[in-house]
Amino acid sequence: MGCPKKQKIESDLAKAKGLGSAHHGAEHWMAQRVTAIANIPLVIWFVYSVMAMKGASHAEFTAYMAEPYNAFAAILLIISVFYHAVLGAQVVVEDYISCKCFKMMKLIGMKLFFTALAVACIFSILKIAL
Amino acid sequence: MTARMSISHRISGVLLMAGSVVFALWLITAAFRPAYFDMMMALVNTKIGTLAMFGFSFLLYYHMCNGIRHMFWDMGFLFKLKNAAIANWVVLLSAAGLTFVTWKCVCEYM
Repeated sequence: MGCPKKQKIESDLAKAKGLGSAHHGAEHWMAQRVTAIANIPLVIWFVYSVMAMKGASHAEFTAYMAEPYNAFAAILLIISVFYHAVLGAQVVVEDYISCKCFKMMKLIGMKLFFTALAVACIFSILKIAL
Repeated sequence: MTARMSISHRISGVLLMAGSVVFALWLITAAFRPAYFDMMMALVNTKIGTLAMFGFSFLLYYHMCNGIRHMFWDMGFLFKLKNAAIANWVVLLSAAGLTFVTWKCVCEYM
């Protein structure tokens, strides 16, 4: 207050929130990294599983997925990978699509699509495993 | 080179998303439509299917290795041009090496 040379251009509330004009902080960036780290061991399990399931019959595949460790890893993989994919796709859409209306449609559509796909996958695993 | 690696990371990410949809369908058909599951397994065993799997595996390893490089960047390493250039090749060769080892295992043991 008072000193014109140090006049603030943001309100006290905005300063306290510390989020700037983007209206969000580092959560997106951090979640991208956290899921990236989680993805590394999960993807190694995934590659091994796909290799092991080469030429497998339906019965062999369901027997493999019904193993508790595999079902557990698969559910973690789906959550982590699809979350990571949504965050990544969001950045790509935000960066390359300039039409705001179309951008919103893509963002919402993509999030709904991946959420539905992830739920369908988890439901499938539970159906096979339980 | 470094710029091309950067855009490749995004392109590989988007392609992996497309691939993940196929794997999701694989899982969903296994649970609900066994007949389609058998069809998908047969498709993977065709030449085009195997090529797609090969491409997917390389993209997956590339995205993973380059992602690890991104974490080094986040921690403040590998920013000097020379180091970034070396890292480009480390990432590419690691991805190629991992793909090679994976497919060698597939051919010999699976």
